[in-house]
Amino acid sequence: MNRKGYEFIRDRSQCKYSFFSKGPMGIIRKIVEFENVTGDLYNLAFGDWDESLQKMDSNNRSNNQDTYLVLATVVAAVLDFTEKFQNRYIHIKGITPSRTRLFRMVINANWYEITKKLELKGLVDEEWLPFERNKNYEAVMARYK
Amino acid sequence: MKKLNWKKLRKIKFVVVDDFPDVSNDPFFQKKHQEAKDFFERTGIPDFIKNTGKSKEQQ
Repeated sequence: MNRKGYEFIRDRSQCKYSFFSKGPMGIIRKIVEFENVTGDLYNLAFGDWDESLQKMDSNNRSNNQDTYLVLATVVAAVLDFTEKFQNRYIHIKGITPSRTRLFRMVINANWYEITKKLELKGLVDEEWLPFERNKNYEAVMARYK
Repeated sequence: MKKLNWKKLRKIKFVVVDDFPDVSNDPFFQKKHQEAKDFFERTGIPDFIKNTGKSKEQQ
């Protein structure tokens, strides 16, 4: 099995990335968007694109059994974006607490490589703290080191 | 959670295209972004973002 993640495309603004998830549920287009909140702060939104309705699928549970590849590709998109725009902070919060936890697990499992490239902070009770391994956070903030 | 293959991850191709799905006004993404904007409007922008002191943006 190819473990590197999916190849993806990005739009001209370089704030939107897209790739195709392949699995038992078929081929599903995924989109990652970085939207400016204010100044150097950007928010990451991620989900499935519904080709027939031409809009994002708010259900957002494709069950395509490729979570690892999808997460790897989202990480690659974050690294690509932050490397290009090194002064920008990315706010990452899952659609549900379990999704945020999944992203945190990716960070923990790849701690050395990710923290070599990204400065991370975690949100606890509306306070941003230096990100520590294996701790629970409500959201994550990332910037290229 | 299995470790990512970083050597292979670096080889993921990034292709710039013109025919990208129009998600600029998509309700789902708008909701997610608005939630973040509301959060930072309520709690304020953290000082470490206001004072990044970093200016090496590569366009």
